Amino acid sequence: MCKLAFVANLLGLSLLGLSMLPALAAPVTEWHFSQSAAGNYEEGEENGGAVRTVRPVLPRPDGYAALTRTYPAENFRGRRIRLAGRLKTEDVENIEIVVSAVSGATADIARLALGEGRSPGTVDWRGYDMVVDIPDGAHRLVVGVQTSGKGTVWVRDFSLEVVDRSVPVTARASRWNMPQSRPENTSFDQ
Amino acid sequence: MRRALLLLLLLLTASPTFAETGAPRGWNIAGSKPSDYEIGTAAVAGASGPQAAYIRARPGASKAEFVTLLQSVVADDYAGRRIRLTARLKAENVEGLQLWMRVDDSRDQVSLYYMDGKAISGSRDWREYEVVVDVPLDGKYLAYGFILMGGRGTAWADSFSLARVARDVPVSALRDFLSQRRISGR
Repeated sequence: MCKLAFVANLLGLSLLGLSMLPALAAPVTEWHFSQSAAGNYEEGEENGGAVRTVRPVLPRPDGYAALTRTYPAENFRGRRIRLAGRLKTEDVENIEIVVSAVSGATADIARLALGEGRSPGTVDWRGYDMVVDIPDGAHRLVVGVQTSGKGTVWVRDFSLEVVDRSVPVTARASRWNMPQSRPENTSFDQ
Repeated sequence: MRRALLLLLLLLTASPTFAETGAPRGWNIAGSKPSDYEIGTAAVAGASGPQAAYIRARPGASKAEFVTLLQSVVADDYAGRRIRLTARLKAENVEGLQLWMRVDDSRDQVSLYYMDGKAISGSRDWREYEVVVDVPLDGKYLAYGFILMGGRGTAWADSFSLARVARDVPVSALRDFLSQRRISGR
């Protein structure tokens, strides 16, 4: 995560403190663009930044590109949250919406891959949402979209809110070990 | 060229994206369709200790899908050095078993290395394999593991080790055996 995103998160913190449960706008204007290999994708914006875009620069782009925002987790830990937003895709091979709750050495990651196991291709503006339980130990929440392969993605109107336990969970997170300080359990005997 | 594993392994960065559970302690599972494979640890003849890790293709697994068991570490101890990953592998009727290593630098640039053009096919008893990489001075993370492709057979792995080597040890090839496809957790 870049420093800018981090500063934005600090600013967001005070807002979070004020808002008890109402939906928190997660304006895509503040989302951070990143890619795994420089020069493969580019970001853009429309409607004065209300719509963010990601498109490949190369015909066969390498790696992935992501638009993400990071939040301190204190208002979300131990709670059920809903991430909602609108997406448009054009000839997209892979795109998913991601909620990652980072707790020190592990991250609990829930994903919503568009296209139900196939490439989503071209889909006009549509709303998507994910309802996810955030673990008690989370200290950072990363939300966003990630694309790979070909195609252009448009993103807008994202929001993040705490929801009641009566709202069904739509995505179960699975756990990822963050990089360790040194190799361990290298012979699988533990 | 490097797209598939780039995708597969991007998980290891500070904001990982795909995830898996049920891996041995300290290890992660990732792949194009991990549910086509069973991953775990078990006792097996020839292992260095009581157990080794395995990846076993399930009946009906697609030839096009792959899965890997991987571990990632911060690169502090290895920055600016040439290092060798060694591990013991055993193959039972596989098509495409590889040891690999990934290096991420401070700009999130990624390099992937494999055993030099020697993907294992068929059945092979336990043997040590290696991947040699140069870690840049600004190296941030390393990741390594074994990957089974081809949708058949069982791959066993044991005794992973990282060690500094001299500059006269040749570096492994940067390459990719896979075409791009959706990568997902189970």
